[in-house]
Amino acid sequence: MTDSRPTLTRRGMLAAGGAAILGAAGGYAVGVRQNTPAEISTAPPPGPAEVMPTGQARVPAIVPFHGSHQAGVSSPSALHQTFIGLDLLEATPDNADAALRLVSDDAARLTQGQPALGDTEPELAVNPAGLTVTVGLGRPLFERAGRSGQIPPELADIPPFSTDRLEDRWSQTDLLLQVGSDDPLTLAHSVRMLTKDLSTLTRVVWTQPGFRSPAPASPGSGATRNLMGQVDGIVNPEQETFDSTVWIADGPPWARGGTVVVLRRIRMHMDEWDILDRATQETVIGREVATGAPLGGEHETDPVPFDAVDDLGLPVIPHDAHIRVAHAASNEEMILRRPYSYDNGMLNGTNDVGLLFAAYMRDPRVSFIPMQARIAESDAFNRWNTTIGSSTYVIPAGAGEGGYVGAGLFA
Amino acid sequence: MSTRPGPRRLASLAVALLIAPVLALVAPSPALGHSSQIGSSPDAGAVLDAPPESVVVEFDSALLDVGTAIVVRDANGASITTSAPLVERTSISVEVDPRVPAGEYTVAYRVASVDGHTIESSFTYTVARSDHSAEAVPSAGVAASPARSDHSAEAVPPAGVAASPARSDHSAEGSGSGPGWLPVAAAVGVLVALTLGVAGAIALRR
Ligand code: HEM
Ligand SMILES: [Cu+2]
Repeated sequence: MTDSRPTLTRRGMLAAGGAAILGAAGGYAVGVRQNTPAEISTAPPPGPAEVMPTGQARVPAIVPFHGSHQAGVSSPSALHQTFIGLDLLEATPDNADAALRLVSDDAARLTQGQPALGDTEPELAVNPAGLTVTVGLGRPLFERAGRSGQIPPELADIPPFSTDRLEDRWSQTDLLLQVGSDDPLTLAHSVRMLTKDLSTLTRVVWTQPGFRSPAPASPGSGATRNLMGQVDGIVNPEQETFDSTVWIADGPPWARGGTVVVLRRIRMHMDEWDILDRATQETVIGREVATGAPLGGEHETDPVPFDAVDDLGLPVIPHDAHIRVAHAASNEEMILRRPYSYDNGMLNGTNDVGLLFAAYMRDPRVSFIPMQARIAESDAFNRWNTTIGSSTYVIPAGAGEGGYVGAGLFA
Repeated sequence: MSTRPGPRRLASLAVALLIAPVLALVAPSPALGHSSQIGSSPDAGAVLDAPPESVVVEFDSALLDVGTAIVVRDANGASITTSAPLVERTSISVEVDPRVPAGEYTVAYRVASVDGHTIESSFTYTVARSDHSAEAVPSAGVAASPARSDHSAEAVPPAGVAASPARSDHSAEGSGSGPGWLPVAAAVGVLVALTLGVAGAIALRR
């Protein structure tokens, strides 16, 4: 095992965006060709806004829409992100193509701080605050539009897992819109414009809003805390492995440079979790809550001592600890995690809270699926989480200037 | 107290066990919190005529199967465990190599209880006689693999791997007697006082 342990960074810089929040564009993703902060304009948005309403020192207000990859994957994680699942009202190749053109056009404007065509509240478009719009295509889109033959092999069906308790209302859709911004008002406006303009072609099946903390987990941390207080987003692909982990390398031009997103809605059972004393909570994950350090280590960035034993000779990181079980078994198995929290208040007497687990990868057949299978089989953490929604989309390559996402696929 | 129930604690528990049926009739005791070891096979400190085939540790309350570990080692620190731990409601067990030579063996375990606490402890037993000499024993630990993850081979590393400091799993509970047996012991104290009519029972309560 030791030999095949992949090279993972213990600073989830790319995904966590903590550094971005601090405005530290310097440390970012050399290996990522597009949408890196270096390319993000720091020019003030047009109009009356040098305003950063979130009060964050996060300067890059405008993330380019055009490029070889879509934004929203390697660009810094926005503080607020909404995932929208849509179905075509009438699934024809023409409608699919029209929807992709429409979204691309709106996104190209909104992300650059320009109102959408016919924008009813153009004032709400002036502060994109890092707005990204990412488009994903689900298997049903291809199948219903009679284009099953064009489904890329990477867009695999995610099999059911024994621990899943999937609810229909969060199920697979034709299309995904992933919209993120640091400004929740901008985000709301953009979501409304996008879905409104699509309303003659599509129907919104679900909307899943998520948020993340603007604060680093601890001073200097590259990660932030989740609703359980854990430092989340520590281990993610390093610069050297980012491209091979995330971007699809072959296939038609619309897919090459794209990725696959697996979106899981995972409810957290907070009341039951609260029963555990802190040491037991840490045993379940394999890391300390306060520091994010692996058990047996001191700092968040310390290597995980998978082999260490305590003075009784027992493994310091238990056999069923989340980080042991989830740990990518090879470079191939790595995924990019960009999770968001959700909080819907109370439902049936308990907190309806959890994680929008969004993971990006070149091919889930060799990464997410074996990893999740292992988790379902033996992760101690399963008792306190339930996956209630699951959907998977291929995120096409980015659009060039004047082009649109998914061009050449349905036209 | 530390996370380790010492022999004194075990002895107290043995006493508590003996009196438990009576106690149940006399005093409604509060539900015991985290699990405490109440017995084992082989017994802690047992001297055996032959090596056992398995080791079982029993607890006084229901277990939560998270982070569970049990390892049996010979005097050289080599594991003789040959199976994954089996967690039942209030016990854990593991198979051990029955062809080991005479000597002292140490059982170390970690369990969590349904109330969300984790305890770690260890005890020893002695194999006084064995048909197997040290040379006949296959290299211990080869088949041992209590882990279920991909990293199973790493879960029970060979002896001699640098040990990191033990974690205190009960820090929140402060010092003093292990809360698991404390209520029992206190109740036992009261019972003894009643039975003997001795006012000095206070001495038992720390
Ligand atoms: C509510 C659900 C979940 C929560 C709260 C959660 C939380 C965490 C935390 C706190 C860590 C340690 C810090 C870090 O490296 O980021 C972690 C690590 C990790 N998690 Fe999760 N996780 C969840 C679900 C999942 C799922 C569904 C998967 C994959 C199928 C997954 C894959 C991973 C991986 C690959 C690591 C890094 C392991 C390593 O190599 O050290 N997690 N998770
Ligand atoms: Cu306890």
